[in-house]
Order: sequence, then structure tokens, then C-alpha cells
Amino acid sequence: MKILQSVTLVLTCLFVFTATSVSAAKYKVQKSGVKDGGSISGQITLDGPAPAPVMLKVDEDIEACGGDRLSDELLVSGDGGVKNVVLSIEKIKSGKDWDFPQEFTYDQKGCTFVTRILLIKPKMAGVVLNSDSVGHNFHTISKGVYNINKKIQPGSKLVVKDNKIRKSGMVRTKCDIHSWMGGYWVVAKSPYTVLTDQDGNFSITDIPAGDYTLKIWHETLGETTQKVSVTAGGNSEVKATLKI
Amino acid sequence: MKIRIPAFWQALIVLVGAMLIFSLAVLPFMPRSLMIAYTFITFIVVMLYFSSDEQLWSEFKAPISATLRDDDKWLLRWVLLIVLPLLPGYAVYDAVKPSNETPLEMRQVHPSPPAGIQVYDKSFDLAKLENPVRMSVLEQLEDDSDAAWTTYNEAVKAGSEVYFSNCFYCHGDQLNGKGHFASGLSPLPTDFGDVGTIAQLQESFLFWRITTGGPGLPKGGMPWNSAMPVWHEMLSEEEVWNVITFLFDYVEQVPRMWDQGISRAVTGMKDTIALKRAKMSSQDIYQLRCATCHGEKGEGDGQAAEFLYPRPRDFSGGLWKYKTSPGDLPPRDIDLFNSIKFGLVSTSMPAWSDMFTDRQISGLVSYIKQFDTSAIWAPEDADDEDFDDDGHYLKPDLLVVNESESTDGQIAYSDESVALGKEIFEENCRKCHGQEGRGNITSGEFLEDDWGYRTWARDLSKPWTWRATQVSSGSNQTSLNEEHRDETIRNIYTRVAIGIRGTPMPAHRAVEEGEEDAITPEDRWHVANYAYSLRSGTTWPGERNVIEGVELTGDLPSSIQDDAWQQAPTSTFRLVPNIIKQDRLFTPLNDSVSVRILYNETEIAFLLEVNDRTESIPGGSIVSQLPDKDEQMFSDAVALQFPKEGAYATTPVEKPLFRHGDKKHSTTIWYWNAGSVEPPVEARSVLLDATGPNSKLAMRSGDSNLAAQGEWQDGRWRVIFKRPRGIPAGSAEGEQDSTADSGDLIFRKGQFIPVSFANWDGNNGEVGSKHTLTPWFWMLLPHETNYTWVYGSSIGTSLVFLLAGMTLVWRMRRKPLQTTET
Repeated sequence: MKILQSVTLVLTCLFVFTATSVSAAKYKVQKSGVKDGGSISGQITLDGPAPAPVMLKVDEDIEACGGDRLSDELLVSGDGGVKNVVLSIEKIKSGKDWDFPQEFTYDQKGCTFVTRILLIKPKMAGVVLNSDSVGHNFHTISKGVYNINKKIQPGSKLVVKDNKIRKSGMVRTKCDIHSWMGGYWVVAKSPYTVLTDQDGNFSITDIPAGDYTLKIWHETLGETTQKVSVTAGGNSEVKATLKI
Repeated sequence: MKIRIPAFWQALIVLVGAMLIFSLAVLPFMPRSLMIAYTFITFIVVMLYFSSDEQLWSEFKAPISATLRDDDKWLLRWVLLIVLPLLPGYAVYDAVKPSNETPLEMRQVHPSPPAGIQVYDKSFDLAKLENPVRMSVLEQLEDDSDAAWTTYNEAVKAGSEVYFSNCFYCHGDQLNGKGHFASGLSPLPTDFGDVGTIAQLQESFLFWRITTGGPGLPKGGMPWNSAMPVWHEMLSEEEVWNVITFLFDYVEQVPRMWDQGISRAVTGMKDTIALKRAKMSSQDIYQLRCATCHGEKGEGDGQAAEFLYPRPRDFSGGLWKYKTSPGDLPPRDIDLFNSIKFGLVSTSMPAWSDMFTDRQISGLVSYIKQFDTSAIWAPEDADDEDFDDDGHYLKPDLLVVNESESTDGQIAYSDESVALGKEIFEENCRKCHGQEGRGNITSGEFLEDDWGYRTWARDLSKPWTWRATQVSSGSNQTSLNEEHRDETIRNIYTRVAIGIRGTPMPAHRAVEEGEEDAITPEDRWHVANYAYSLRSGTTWPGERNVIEGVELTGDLPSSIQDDAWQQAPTSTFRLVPNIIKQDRLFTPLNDSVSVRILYNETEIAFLLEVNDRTESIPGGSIVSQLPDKDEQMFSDAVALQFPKEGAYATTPVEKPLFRHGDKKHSTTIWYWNAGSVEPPVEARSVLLDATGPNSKLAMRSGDSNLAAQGEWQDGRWRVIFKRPRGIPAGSAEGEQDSTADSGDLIFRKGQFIPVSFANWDGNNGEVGSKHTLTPWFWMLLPHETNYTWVYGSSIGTSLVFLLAGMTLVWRMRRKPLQTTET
């Protein structure tokens, strides 16, 4: 029995160790910069007709918040382009330097989060403001990325220190008083993470040549992936669709 | 020299001794009348003995005559003349004074089983019946012990699954009868760990008790009070045997077995298990005792999780509800330790102090911390390499937080502070906790926890539901002193400051530089004092168990707001969900009902109050309803139940089964339903006749004598029911109403009447058999206390005895001495 246990233990340790070393794919910035990088650009569109915009009912603090409003969860342009789609190159181990700002500012204004999808990186500092005349219960939900639930009074703020967000992942933001308020912080794994613009267009630059998997995520349309080859100095066009 | 006690004192000693034995040693087990008879017989025997011999008789009489006659005994004589008549006077007072002693219910704990039972379309001879699982294990044990253990372990595992989806609500996680619904039941569920229960019994006895449930009990077992379901309707024969095997395994006991050889083999297996369990690691303990709810990987997804509200904690996300570390810091080990040791009241998390040593609990804390994938305890400079794929920190140097959230500067509990706290509450807390603090969300928002499960703000008027916050000293809250109060307030203050992680309850203090307090420390004390004050109008369950009616001379109030209701005392009872009969309810929200009774010569009225966070009238206002998109909404409803006239007795006690009666004891149900806007149905009250758990309720038509109306406000339903007492006009109390063919109970004065309650929270998906209820309680319309009669008869009796005594003394002293001294 004892021997069996020890063997199991050793095997488990080995397994854990192997799994760990594989997972330790921490992004490393190439000091010299990326020379002869390629790029990926394209458009993410909605497969099928755009649904009628959802009207959000504002039934609390109407005076401070303003009236009913259209949901900004799913924004589709005239030619089907989807805004706020997150594109990221999976498992890329090294490459260009982060071109993200040093700090982020996230505001609650008119009882809406500004902006709906916030792209940040790990160990980034920032502030969450409340520009409204009512208090908000700023509440984040994530798988251990950044969890907080704090009352922020009008004109007050929440300070996010640079040691608070330690890993990448999705952080859903909400206010428990005003349930229509919603958004996401996307904590990027590498600088090769971008958002689509209002027409669904995006562009990722300075990618070392190679074969990659592009992850495409939208908060209501879900996730899909696409294989893409990047050549030195070239641009790979990606057209992808998401379904409701 | 031998000391001889004089005859009179001998007699007195014997008599007093006998009375003491009867009253102290025997009385708890026999009726008072029998004791009086025994005492009387003893008295006769003593008198017979002392009068049997002339000399003994004179010796016996001597001190009595001396006291009556002797001049130098005048003081003693007068003292006795005054004191002795007081005794019969007190006895009369005791007999005629208004009494609220409920009828004595004496339950046989292990009633004798019948010879056989008829379940699963088969006959079982209980004398010969053995557990087939155990028999097959024992058979295998002879030639292949590994196979035997495999069979055994599989049966125990299967039994555990049955237990933790069917039985643990009442019998508890630790099989100690302290399940999360147990407090609403009487008698309490069996404690299997008690060596006086299953260890004394054959497995066939358990098979009988489980398969036929409460209704299968003989009269002595008081089937009417039992909430034990008739399990053969819901579990297969195999499942029942597996769960029996599991019960003995968990508590490490052996059933009673007649065959010595078999008994030895079974005991041997038990000893092997006990030995192994004594050496369990933290991981083993967790997987055996905790994983059923919290899941093998601590993700709060054990097999019992879906039957629980609130759900068991997911240990992976760093979201610990009741922590005392300052601000955003991860919880202290003591926070986890205390949650395990003392449990969390009014949830399914029991106090584990009976089962685990402090050392074992500390071990569990360390083990549980390893489930975390949010790096809360990982050192700040930890490398990505130190985490596995799922985010578990792999090194042992987990952070230990020692400091706790400051509770310095506590502001004393006072009316002024409470008034200030009310303002802060209305500004910051009302939207979720409601105007009166009953947890009814007034913002019209649907609250959910970080896992997306629906959750509700705490009802602050019910402190018995406050986990880790309300300081309790046992079940008796009246023994709470100022120290308990102030400690409770400090706990509220901490909750307000740092919030309750994973729920919508936010933190209200500044943590980082540049932040401001959402509520200043001073105001947090005021609001904590106010939150504490919200219990002031609350009657706790168990505070008053008999509902006593109050008699009015005029009309009974027709309005809920009528001040007359204030005259009636409130009794509060726990509501438990119907887990007796399918379709069952496992996750109730309303946990108590408060009741008052008013009556006059002809009518009786009940006021039922149920704190219900939502007013469920399908199609009505959204704000007071907050419908759940995943649940169909039904109308809220409440009901009362009474036995029919003659369907119950008080000496000895006999009642109908508490859910819908039975064939021999039918019941009447007064039911009120809040109606709906869509489809348009008015709120209505109906009478229902119940004749047993398996027969459909019959709605009575043509009886318009039940009037009811309900009103929901600030998270509380108040419903009044009014109906004639059933006493025909012109007839005396107690006379049978010959015109009543419904058989409904007559509400007579001075009679203990069983009553039970039910509630449907339509927003919680409660409809039909899915509802909460109470077992039987006693109600009483007390006789008016006639003080002239009570005191007149007592004093009169004393006077009569005084006069008789004085006459005796007067006559004795007049008579010359008849006999010479002996």
C-alpha cells in the first residue's frame, strides 16, 4: 500500500510539474523589438440580420441616471460589423512591447460604464470614478482576476493599485443597484490583443512571422478561433463571423 | 441506648418519605392522579398500622392531643391553626387559577414494530428480515475480503448519495438530527450518532421506520407529529438498504444482530473502519465529510449543492463571505476556522465542533486554502511558474493574515444613534434591505451572487438568520445581555465596513490612498446600531409556543390595521418546506409565520404575518415581485389547518397526521390566495377538506362563512381570517352544533386545539405541494379569569379549615382528660 501511495504521489508531482512548466507561458517582451513583423487585419461580422436593439428599462434613480436607453452589449454596423469584439493571438510567447497606457480610467456616468469593454494588461493601475449624483455598488466578477464590491459615492473613486490585477482574464463589471449597468474589463495576456471598432474592423501589428490561432470573443456572441499564418512584412486578412 | 422515635413522628416520616418518592422519582413517569391515590393509600396504611394497637394509638395521639389542649403549647397551636388551613386554600387556588399547561405528549421513542409490513408489493417479515447488502458482503468476506470491501464501499457510497439528497435536511450532515430544517420539527429528527438510537436496533427496524415513515408509526409513536416521509413511495428497496448501510457506517455503529458469528464479523468491519478513520488526513476528512456539499475540488458543486439555498461555498475564487481581516485583505485563518467550528446559522453548514477537534479543523483550513485559484494567499512576488494551469498556488508559503478590521471607537447603542443610523440606512441600504429592513429589494433589481445564483438581502428583523454576526447564547435570546448586543453590533459594523464577498453586499470603507469612505466610521456605528434595532418588534420562534387568543366584547376587527390586534400576544413558528410528499420543496425563503388570535362570543379571527420579500401576484407590479426569469411565478398564499370536531383528543393526545390528516382523522384547511392580475383572479379564501396524505383536497362550496383579506407591505404579508366559532346561538359553550354537517371544529373556550400553518411564496416557484408548513401547535381560547371565584374559593376554603380547627381546639380544651397518663 505504502509503495503504491508513494508511486502515485511521485506521478502526481511529475504531472503537476509538467503541467506547470507547460502552462508557464508567460509573455516576454523582445528587448530588441520585433523586426520584419507581419500583421493581421480584417473585419468581424454578424452572421445573419442584426437583432432589434434591446431597450433597457431604467426604473431606479431616473432623475440621476436618465431614462430608458438602448443596450450597448451588441452593436452592429450597417454592413454587419460587430463592435467590441476582442481578438487575441493565443499562446504567443514573446514579441513586441506593450503599447497599452500606463493607467486606466473607468467611469460611471449616466449610470452607464464608460467604456463598455475596457482593454487593460496585468499589473496596470487605474481608477474607477463615479461622475453621477447617485452612489453605485461597483461589483466585479471574475475567476480570481479581480474581485471587488464597493460602494462608490457620487464624486468619489475606487483606486486599483498596480499589484491588484495579477493575471489575465475576463472581469465582468456591474452595479447591484442599477442592474442595467454592465461591462467587461479584458485583462490581456499579450499586447497582441485588440478590440474591433464600430465597423467591426481590427488590426494587429508587429507579429513575429509564424502560424497562430486567433481567438475571437464577444460578450454575447461567444467565442470562436481561427488559424492564421503571419508572414514577415505581410498582412493576413481575416474575415470571421459570429452567430447569435 | 437506643433512641426511639415517637409514634407520631414515625408516621409523619413514613408519609412524607412516601410523598417525596412519589413526587420526585415516580411522578415524571405517571399521572398526578395516580400519585395522589398512592399517597392516600399510604396514609390509610399508616393510620391502620398505628391504630391496630391501643398503646401505639395513644402514643400516636399524644402529641396531637397535647398540641390541641396543653396550655403551654398555645403558640404552636395558633401557628398550626393559621398555617394548616393555608395549604388546602393554596391547593384550591392552584386548581382554579387559569392554567396554560399544554396537554402532555409522551412519545415512545422506539415503538414496537409490527410482525410484518407490506411495501414494494411484497410482504416483509420483520423478525427474519436482514439487510441483503450486509448479507452479501458477509458471504463474500469468507473467501474474498477485497471483493467484500468493494461491495460494502459501493453500497455505502450509494447510500451516501441517497442520504445527501433526501435525508440530511432534517437528520443533518453529521447524522446528529440537526439538519437545517430540524428546528421547525417536533419531535426533533433522530440523532443516529446517539448510541441509544440505531445502535440498539435491528436493521429490519430501520427498514420499517424508513419505508413506512411517520404514518407507519403506532399510536404510541405519535405518527401525527412525525415529518418522516413514507419513503417506499420515493426510494427503491435497494436504496433503502444502501442508506441503512451508510447510516451505520458513518456513525461507526453496529446494528443489533442475534447471530453471534455475524455480529462479530460486522463488528470487525466496523472496527477496521474506525481505526482507519482515526488516522485520516485533512484531505481524507474533507473528502469524506465536506465534499458532498463543497465538491471534490472545493468548487461548491457537491452532489447536495443543488438542494441548498444558500449554496455551499466555492473555495476556488477567493470569495469568503464572513472574514474579519481589514479591507480587501484575504481572510484570516481564524475566519475559516470559526465558520467550520461554529457553522453558519440558518444555512446547511453545521457546527463541526462535535465531530472535529480544533487540530483537525486547523488542518482542514490549510487544506481548503489550497483550493484557491485567485492567488489571494500567494505572496506578491510569486512567479507564474508557482501556479498550476488552473491557478492553484503550488508552494507552501501561503500568506497568513493576522490583523483584523478595527472596531475601535464603538458608539454606544442609544435612541439618538439609532435615529441617526436610520437616516444613513435610508440613504445607503434601503434599496436592497427595504424600508423596514426586511430584505425586500425596493430598487426593483434582481440580485445575484458572483456565480449567477439568485440571492436576497438579509431580513434584518430576523436575527436568527444572521450568519456569523448575531451573537447567540444558545436558543434563548432573552438571556442575551448588553455584552452580547454590543458584540453583535461590532459584527454588523465589520460587515458594513468590508462587505460580504461574492454577494451584492458592498464594502463601505476606503482602502487605498486617494479613496474616501463610502460611509464614515462614525456613521457605520450608527447604521450598525440601527440594524440591530430592527429586531425590536420581532417575536422569536420558540418565545411563545401556545397561541393564546384574546377575547373582545364587541365586534372583531375587520381591518388588518386595527389596533385591537395589538392586544393579542404573538406566537412565531418556524416554517419548514414540504419535504414529506412529492413534489417537494428544498429551497424555501420564508422561514417563519407569526400568529395572533382574537375572538368574541360568536367569532374567531386569526392574523397571520409572514415576512416575504416579494408580493407575488402574477401580472402585478414588478418592483414588489422581482420575478425570476428561470422560475414561473405563482400567487402567494397562506393557510391554517384544524382537525375536524372529534378528530383529535388531548388526554391522551391524539391528532391527525400534520399534513392533510388521515382517514380516521380528517382536517379542515382555511386557505387564502393573493390572486393574480393576469389572468384576472381576485384574492380569495376557500375551505378545503383533507382526509389524508394520499387523497385530493376537496374544495368546499356553499360555505361563505370564511372571510379573509391580505395585504403586502414592506416585505411582509399580513392576512386575517375570520369565521364563526361554531357555537350555535343560544346554546351553552361546549354543546355540539347539531346543524354542522361539515364536521368542522368548534372553537370552545378552555380547550387546547391543534393548529398548523402553511405558506406559499409564489416568487420562489411555490405552488401546490411545493410550499412551507409547520407541524401542529396548540392554540387556546382561555377562560376569562374570574378573580372573585379564584380568590374567593381559595380564601373561603382556608377559612372553613380555620373554623373547623378552632372548633376542634375549643371542644378538646372543654373536655376533661378521659384517660390517665400511661
